[in-house]
Amino acid sequence: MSVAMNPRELPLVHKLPEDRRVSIKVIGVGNAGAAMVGRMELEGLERVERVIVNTDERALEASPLAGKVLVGAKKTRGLGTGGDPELGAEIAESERELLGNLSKGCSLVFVVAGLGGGTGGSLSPVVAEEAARNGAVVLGFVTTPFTFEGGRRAKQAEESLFALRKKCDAVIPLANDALLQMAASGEGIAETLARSDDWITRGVRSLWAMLFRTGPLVIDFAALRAVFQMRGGRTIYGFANAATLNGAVEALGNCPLALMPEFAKRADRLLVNIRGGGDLSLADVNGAMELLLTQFGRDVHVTVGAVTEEAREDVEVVVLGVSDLGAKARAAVAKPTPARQAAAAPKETLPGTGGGRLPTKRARGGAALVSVNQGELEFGEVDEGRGFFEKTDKNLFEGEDLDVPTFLRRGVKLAQ
Amino acid sequence: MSSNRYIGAIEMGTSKVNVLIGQFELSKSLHIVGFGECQSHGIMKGSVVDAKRAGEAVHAAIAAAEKVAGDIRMEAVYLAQTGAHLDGFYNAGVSSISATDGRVRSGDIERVWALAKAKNLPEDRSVVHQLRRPFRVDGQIVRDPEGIVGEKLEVGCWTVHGQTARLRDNINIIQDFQISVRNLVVSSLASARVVTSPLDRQQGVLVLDIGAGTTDFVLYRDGAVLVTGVLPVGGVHLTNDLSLGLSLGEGEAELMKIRHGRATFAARDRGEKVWVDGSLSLGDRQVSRMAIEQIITARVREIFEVVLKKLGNAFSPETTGAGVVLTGGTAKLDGIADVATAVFGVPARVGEAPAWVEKQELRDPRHSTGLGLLEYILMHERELAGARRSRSGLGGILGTLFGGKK
Repeated sequence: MSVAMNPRELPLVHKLPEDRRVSIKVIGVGNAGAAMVGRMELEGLERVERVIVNTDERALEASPLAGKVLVGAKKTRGLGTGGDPELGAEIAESERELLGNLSKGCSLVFVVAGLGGGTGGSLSPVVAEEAARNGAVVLGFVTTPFTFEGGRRAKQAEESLFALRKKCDAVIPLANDALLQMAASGEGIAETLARSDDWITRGVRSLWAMLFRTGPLVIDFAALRAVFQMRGGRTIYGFANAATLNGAVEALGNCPLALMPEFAKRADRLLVNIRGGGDLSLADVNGAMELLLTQFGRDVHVTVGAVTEEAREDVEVVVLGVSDLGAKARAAVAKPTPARQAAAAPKETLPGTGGGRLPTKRARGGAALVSVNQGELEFGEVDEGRGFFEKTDKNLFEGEDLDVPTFLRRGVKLAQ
Repeated sequence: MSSNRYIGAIEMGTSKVNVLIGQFELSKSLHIVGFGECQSHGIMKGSVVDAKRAGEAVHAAIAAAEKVAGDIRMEAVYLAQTGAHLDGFYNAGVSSISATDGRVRSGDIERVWALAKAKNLPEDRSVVHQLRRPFRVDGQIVRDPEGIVGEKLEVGCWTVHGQTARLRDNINIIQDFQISVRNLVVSSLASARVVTSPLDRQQGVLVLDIGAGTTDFVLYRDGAVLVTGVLPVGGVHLTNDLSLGLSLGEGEAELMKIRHGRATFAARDRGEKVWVDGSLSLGDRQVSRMAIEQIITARVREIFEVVLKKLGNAFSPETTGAGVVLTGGTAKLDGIADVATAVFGVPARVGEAPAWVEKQELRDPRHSTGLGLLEYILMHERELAGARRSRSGLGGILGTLFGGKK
């Protein structure tokens, strides 16, 4: 790379082709985000485009993707933020318009980033905010640092997560600490980290199938949007594969993602997407509903989609849930109408229900152990996923939350 | 005043509320006449988070204890205090000895003690205890400095303070039942009295009371309290770690902890599994025994490591001749003393209840704080009685100075 680079020249900013058919965009922000998105296997999915945004020019150059955007070149000369979130925030503000252009005309935007450093965590909230303003449903998939990376990164990650939850319709945080639990013995760090790529890819592919494939129960953008009426709550994300639908639903309980400390144990609203073979029927789905309600609670509002893929031999279930905790008091955020809707195939509907939704009466169960002043309960401040201590203050000592299990923070891989 | 007085010792813990009623005869001896225990609610990590539910639990325990004692009413109680809001600091007072003959007078003692006791607490905090360090004349420790010849008199004070609002809340919960709170006692001090001897404290000893919600600790040196502290991590964290790590419900996790929990490794076979329910019922599943031990050992070790960090320079193996004494419910874990020995570098043991505790149930380490409160009550009430009778103002001061530790 030439040393004498004219900062006014931004060779890596592409005028992204105005492809009005593109509906889904996966935007990787920062080094980790760009790397993850670069590795995701999304070939063969039409109307899905990948873009990466970074302040580090060299990292951008190294990526095999076509859609790349360099930001903040004036301030960093393409050398990255050096882990400085304040610099990242400055750049994000000054490049807001550019970041907004990335998601123009999109209906569904995935924002992917690794939190704790300077670029990913600072730029992704702005990317998300602009995407929402452009009318998209915005889902964030982010990773949080290992405990051994130190308290400062953890704190920065937490602040970024806090900001992101306000701007995204839902954020799924994937803790690096928990990744270690799933590492096979002898596996290297790169392979361990690649696992989060896989998890995010599964989510993207599942939602893509939900929107662009057909089956017994179709979910369109309106239904998808309705799942995320309120922002800021905790999320559940899980997936499982099995020979039968019932088997897959049962296997959800063993999904390793249950170890994620930030995950909610309950959800108020659940999006369930089923991908099965040609023989998947409405009756199968009906049968699996009972199992689902047992797992996630009877008072959860479930939106189910089921698509059939002729070539598929197994059944995959992906769940995405949100809890309204903390966001309940605030009025639902006014949303613009979706940019476009997927054509709905003729579908069977269960008697008494409309579309793909199975509304259930929702009682507000489980009184909080602590009566918390609603004014203090900002988005995502109350920590679920700390188990018994979920509604208590964090137990901070030298930058670590002692309420989070020790084995998780120390990266002790449990015997299975 | 009747010769028989009923005074209670109440500990509002995270897993249980303990009420012990002592009958004092002529302020000389104490019999345990009532004992009530109730599962705790509304208390997390040693602090009250739901006063209403905590109050209900306390009420139940008090009623149970008073019933056992023969339907008596307690005249007053001593209340144990714990919680992350408690903090402490050290302050020293130094003065040159004023008299021309170089002998220490009561005025010198009062002056240095006033200096050491002086505190500048923020508005929302109050003193819970002020614990005196030994007097030193010209650098040498002296038990009773009056009359000793020297140039310089020093004394130190360890002040324990807490959030006034929380202390008030705790007191109010008791007073809501028409019982007055005579004194607040830091939990670790109470427990330490029961599991250490005066000789231990003279040699230097570190006591850790590992309860459900908190680990309360106190470090003694030269017979006096050097530092106290509270780490809001306890047995519930062990259970929670198991629950999250093995996807178990709370009850199941607790069962696994009690049945298979250990502070040191014993499982040889990585593949060895244990049944969660164990009653061969349908739907029972297995978990790895080694995983249970991995989870518990990691947490237990961390508790000790954090306490060691919190102690900082205050702790050194050379000045802790009597080693470490563990008590509290969590101290019953197999191998826990070995872990403590490894972390602190001095021999550690699980403390035993004193001989005067006859009831087998009360000899369990869970009850150290409650029993310690009773001992504290006895000592304090004796001193109050003694101070009233004493003619010398100094005796009165020394009485309150000693206030609970010798």
